Amino acid sequence: MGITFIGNPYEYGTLAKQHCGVNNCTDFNCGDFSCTSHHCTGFTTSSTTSVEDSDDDW
Amino acid sequence: MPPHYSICLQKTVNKMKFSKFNLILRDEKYEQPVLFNTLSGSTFFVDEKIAAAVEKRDLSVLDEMGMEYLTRAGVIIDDCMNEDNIFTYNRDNIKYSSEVFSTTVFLTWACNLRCVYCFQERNGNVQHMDKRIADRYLKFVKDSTVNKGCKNVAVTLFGGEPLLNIEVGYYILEELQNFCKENELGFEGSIISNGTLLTEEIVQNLVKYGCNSIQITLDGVKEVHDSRRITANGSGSFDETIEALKLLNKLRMIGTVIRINVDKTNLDSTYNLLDYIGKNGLNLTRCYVDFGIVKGDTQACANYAGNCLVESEIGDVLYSLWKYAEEQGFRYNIAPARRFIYCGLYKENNYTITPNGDVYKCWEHAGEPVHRVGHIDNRGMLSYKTPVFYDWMTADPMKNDECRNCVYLPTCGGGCGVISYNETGTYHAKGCYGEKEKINRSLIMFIDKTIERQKQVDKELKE
Repeated sequence: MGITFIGNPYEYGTLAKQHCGVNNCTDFNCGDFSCTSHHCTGFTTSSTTSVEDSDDDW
Repeated sequence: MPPHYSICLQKTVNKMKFSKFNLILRDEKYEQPVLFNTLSGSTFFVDEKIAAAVEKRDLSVLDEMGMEYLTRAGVIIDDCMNEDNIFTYNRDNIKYSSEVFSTTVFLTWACNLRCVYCFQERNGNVQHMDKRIADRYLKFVKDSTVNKGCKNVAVTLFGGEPLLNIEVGYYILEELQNFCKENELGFEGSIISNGTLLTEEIVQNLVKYGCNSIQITLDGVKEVHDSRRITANGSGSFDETIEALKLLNKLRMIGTVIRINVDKTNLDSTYNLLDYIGKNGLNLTRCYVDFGIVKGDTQACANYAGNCLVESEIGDVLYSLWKYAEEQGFRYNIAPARRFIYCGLYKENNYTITPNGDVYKCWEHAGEPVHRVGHIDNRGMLSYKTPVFYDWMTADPMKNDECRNCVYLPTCGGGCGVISYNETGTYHAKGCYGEKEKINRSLIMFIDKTIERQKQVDKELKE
């Protein structure tokens, strides 16, 4: 069968903190709040810091 | 057993079917079509034969292994499964979640800028929120948080220009921060400002009171920004805004989002702006860049509609900007998200409060009486919810054929109530503005990045 798994973008957000735009939330549970919380559909205060963000200093 | 049958949980033999949420995307950069299940998120390259089978919902071409593989991925499901129910169940869970009590509070209607597309100072209103109203608001938030059993409190300071009334903003942040500490709740503060009045002292105070993100708008290079974001005395605001961003980038104390509002009139110069603020320019790459698409659809900015991008262009425009911003050193992880609601404002515990204590759902409608959902009274209670509240909260994409039958629904959430209202006069229409193209393009961003990472892993393994 010609099927090749690429990945799952819904799991992608947990790997890398990302800005979820004010009117265009692209990360359901980023918990980041750089998006201004109001429009974010997700909320986690626990850290979502990833390998990518481990050197973040703010 | 034929491959299109399986044993379901009830131990009965059930027929299988393709999920209604399978999207086939063909893009010239890929040799094969992409199959993306918008409910499960599983994403594949598939050959044309399988793509055609998915589109025709014809299981007969799949062998047993293919059936099993795609069933595990949610692409094929038991015939007895109703995916509308799955969507509604999850949507309800999120809508009525007590995870967070979240408000956007307008500290003032006044603004020191006169942006060409903006609704602020609606009807000449320059009212500040005073301490009396702030106390009512605080009681409302604290009581609601306790009564609803919320685990977190979030507040966004907005306006008008919130820095024109920041003392009340500090008061609100400090009160809520202390309340959350005393009650062992999470607290998140944020502010949306034009940045022109920002000082180091203000940043330090915001951080002290628990504000951990700030959003500031830039609309292009100096001549473009200055023609759109004009001060009350007619001069431009670019230099002051850039100084604020430099300060934030230097202090590294608070997450910073640079919002760039894009329409036909400034699209070209947006690339020049990214050059200017990117790694080879001012290097403000510790900030996030967020592109907002200007829509001339609120009452106050309808006369700007002619300058807005055509809906069909939005996906391509955003994709190009995301890519270019990445090249200039800004961090991006664009990917489709699972969204059972379009926006946090569909949650029961999300409100917008204006300086006089009026309550709205969305800030886009703040100050328009027809959209008011209530008022915080002198006991700090939202004692009477207007019919608008119930109208907004019962908007349900499953009651709308266009949304219910849309393959994008689980990654869109049913669209924006404000767009819906402005286009149709109700909150109950699809409220879709370039969403499908945005989702397609964000999926391509995700695939590009995944392939890139895989190549990197392969390279490292070889080495």
